[in-house]
Amino acid sequence: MRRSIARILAFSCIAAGAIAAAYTFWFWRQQTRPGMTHYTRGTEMAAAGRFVDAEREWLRGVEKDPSFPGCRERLGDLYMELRRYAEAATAYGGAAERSPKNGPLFLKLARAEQMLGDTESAAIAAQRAARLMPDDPEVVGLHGMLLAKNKNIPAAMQALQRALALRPGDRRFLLGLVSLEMDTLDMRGAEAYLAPYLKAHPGDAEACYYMAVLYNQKQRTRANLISALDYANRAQRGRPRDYRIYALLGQLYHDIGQPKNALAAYRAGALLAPNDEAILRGLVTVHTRLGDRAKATAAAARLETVSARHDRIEHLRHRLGFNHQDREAGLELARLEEEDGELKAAQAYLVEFVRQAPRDPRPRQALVAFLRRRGQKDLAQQAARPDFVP
Amino acid sequence: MRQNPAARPLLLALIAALATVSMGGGCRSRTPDDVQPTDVVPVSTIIDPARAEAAPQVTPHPVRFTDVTADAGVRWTYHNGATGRHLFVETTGGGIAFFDYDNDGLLDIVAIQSGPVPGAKETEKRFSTRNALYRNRGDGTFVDVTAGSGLDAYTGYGQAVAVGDYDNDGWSDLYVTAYGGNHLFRNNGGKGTFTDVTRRAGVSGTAEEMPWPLSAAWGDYDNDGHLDLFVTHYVRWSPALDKPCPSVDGSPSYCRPQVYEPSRSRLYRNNGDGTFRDVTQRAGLDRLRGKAMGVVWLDYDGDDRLDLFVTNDTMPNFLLRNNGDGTFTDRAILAGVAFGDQGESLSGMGIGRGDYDNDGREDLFVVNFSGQPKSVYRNAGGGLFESLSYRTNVASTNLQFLGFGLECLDYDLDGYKDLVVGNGHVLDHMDTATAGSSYEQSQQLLHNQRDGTFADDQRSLGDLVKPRVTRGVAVGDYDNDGDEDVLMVSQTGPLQLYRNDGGNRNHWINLRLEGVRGSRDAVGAKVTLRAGTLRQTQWVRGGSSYCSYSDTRLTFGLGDRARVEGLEIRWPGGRIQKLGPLAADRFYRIREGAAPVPAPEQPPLDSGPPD
Repeated sequence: MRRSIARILAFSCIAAGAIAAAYTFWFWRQQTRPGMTHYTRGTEMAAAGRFVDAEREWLRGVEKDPSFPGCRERLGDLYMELRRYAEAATAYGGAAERSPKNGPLFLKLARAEQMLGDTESAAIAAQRAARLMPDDPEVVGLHGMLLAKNKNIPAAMQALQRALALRPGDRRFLLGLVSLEMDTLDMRGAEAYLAPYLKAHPGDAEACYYMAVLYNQKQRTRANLISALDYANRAQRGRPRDYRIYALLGQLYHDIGQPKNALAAYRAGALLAPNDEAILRGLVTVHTRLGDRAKATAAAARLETVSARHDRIEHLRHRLGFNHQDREAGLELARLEEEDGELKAAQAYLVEFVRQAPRDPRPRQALVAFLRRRGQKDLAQQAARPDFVP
Repeated sequence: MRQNPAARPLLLALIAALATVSMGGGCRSRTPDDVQPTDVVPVSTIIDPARAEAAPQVTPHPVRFTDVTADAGVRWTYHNGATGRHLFVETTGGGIAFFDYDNDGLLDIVAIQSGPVPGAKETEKRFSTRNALYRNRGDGTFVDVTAGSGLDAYTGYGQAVAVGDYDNDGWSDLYVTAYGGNHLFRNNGGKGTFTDVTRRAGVSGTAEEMPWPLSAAWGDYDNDGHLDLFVTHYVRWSPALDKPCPSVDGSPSYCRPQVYEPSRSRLYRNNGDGTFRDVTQRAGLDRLRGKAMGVVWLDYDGDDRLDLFVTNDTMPNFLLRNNGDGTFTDRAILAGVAFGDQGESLSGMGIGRGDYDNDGREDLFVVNFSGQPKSVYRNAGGGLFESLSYRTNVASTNLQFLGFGLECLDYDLDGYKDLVVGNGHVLDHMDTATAGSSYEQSQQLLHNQRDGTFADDQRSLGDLVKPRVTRGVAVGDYDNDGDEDVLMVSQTGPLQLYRNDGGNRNHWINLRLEGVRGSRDAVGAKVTLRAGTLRQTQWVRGGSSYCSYSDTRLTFGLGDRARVEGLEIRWPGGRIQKLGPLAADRFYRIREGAAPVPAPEQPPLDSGPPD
């Protein structure tokens, strides 16, 4: 009996020793592999603020030890800091391929792709992360929010509910759920989330706005209108530059029989968003109600122009969706976006079409003219050069 | 089935509420933050029949719509020709009408078929191309008389039907819109047949490039005594232009209307000799491009000239004011009917028309896409409308429904106009794509509460609760029992007839008007009725609903009033005729300038109490 115990002990000791030796060997191999060397050096350089050197070091690591994911991950981190999201996504993607069970890495990849605007790829990465870290509310929540952006509503709701269960009271998940409930027109469901939250956080402007919208959907009793106004005013105090709140306030004041207050709200909103159709329509209605036909007519004419422009923009966006190289649609879209005050979007379309067709004079001329109108003469001069590709 | 998202917070809220009460905090005044959601039910576009039966009764007496399709001998199925390719044109069709083609005082039925989609391959041409004409036997049943009627000819990819006596011969003619070319069928007067006179009349509508007509409406806009015709056109589309638009899960689906460019609707002036002239350009309408779905002729500003209201999908609606010189001007934005309450372009589909608040002015109702409130535009006089979707509580009902057909009718005959809505989604994968929505949907009844608001009346739905993909909706009293019944058609589904049971427990009166100086159909004639304290106004319809035509007789609900003290008729052109008193629960025919006479559909005097 004693003999057999001793044998077992001896065998166990040998096995443990072998495992320890194997682990030590693996650890040593990891620590001494070329990738790790560059990884460590790069990390030290980054800690010292030498980011260019760090990047070079990690790139060397990728080159010399392609199967090592560490350098790619650090490169991704660096590019995220530098807001070079496309490169960050590529780096994280490469790392994730080599480390398929690394949940945090997939989370990073999801965030990079989200920043890039590729919400579909981001959702796939987040789903991988969520499978690897099913109890991490941050991961599950991000997955839910990305699903919501991709209009996969039932799955988004499920994910956000789980995230909220993992971290009760998290504002982002809760408001995400409220937004989804309202998108699916389940106002009662939205209210069930919002009411207790607002009790604990009565000054949360976004939640107040949601609640005001919710009361705006309810039966048009005076009590409901007063409640909606109360929430909308609270939201306005917290977010005085949010034009949507003024549009809502205008409508509520109008419906409660205070057209002058409605007019003031619409005017304040018009200063922030001169092309918002709700505000323009509100102005037409209130001016009409106050008997100011001239101003109503002027607002109506503006609304007609804006509405036609928005319809056309929507159509052209769809056209471009089907054919990214539809230059005619793209140039018209850029012009309309500029007219609508969406300068970034306008510039982005023009730049894209100059890139697509650097020899076509039309996009280049349009870009030059746009930059001149914006007072960016140097950039305009640069863009006018036929060999310049933005 | 998605989980109830509100269950957890609801439980927490209830526990918190109980704790608050037990700690003596239950006597505080109620503030908005105190809201305790206690009735959280999942939103659904399919109404549970048991829940509907148990819903509160909002009508003065029980009413129920009973599906009598099979018993009535109506067996016709509409096919949109869908084969999985998801061509955009498949989503819109389904036109039906209640009309009396043989002048026997009984409403007959016509239904327009689509069949194989334009450009379909030979293998996909298996769908029926057969329209349907059902003659009312007068005993609650119909007989299919399509064969040999002239309507059995293939009329292309049919969309809508409009009923009007365009040649003033006393017999109702039909205008059928179809993708690629429309058809005018002249009623051969008592022979039970129709002749296709499209070519001679010049109303095929093929002058428009890529014509995709939907609803059409008859109305005499120039007061010359001949019905003119307005035909809505949807978008510029052809099979070659159709785009692939995958759904969220990547499966093929239908595109949004924004993908396609808007089109121009057409106005045809009746020359009075059996021919028409396309006056779209002359009327100033060629500049207007929309994605038009529904149309009605109405005199919204009371100047005795018919104007047009046209709903547009994802674009502002048109309110085309008749300038009196053959031209029209769009006044929708200033009048307040172009947009929704939030200033957004809605997806306007079917139109309901009627004076819901009995103030003598015709109001407008529009059904929009799911997620958008149904629009209620109250005519405030002076050429202005108030958008009251929320104040009337119409927007407070389930917004998930996607309505197409819509009609104003007083289904409980209490003297106030109610609404019936035919619902059904456009996207056939809706059941899996969005929580709470579905492709097939229950129908809706919105009961006028007589205080300026409407209530979602699930109790009266009866068989209307059945989920369908409804498009066309028409109303009319097919069994001449005094209350209006409902006819519906659904996408790749049966024509359905719903009998109103119990509506006629209130008193009523039914009028059929016949113009003399103006058009025989008297479209736009305004009838104001006085019965006790009730004042009610109705207009002879010139179009309504979606792709469909309802009974042009006027049914007035009288509540418990057994007599009409007086009637005032303002005929097209402005001539006023005063009549009365009249006994209730009767049908009358009123010829312009003459005394009312009992109509042939008059129920026997000993017909006993209403059902």
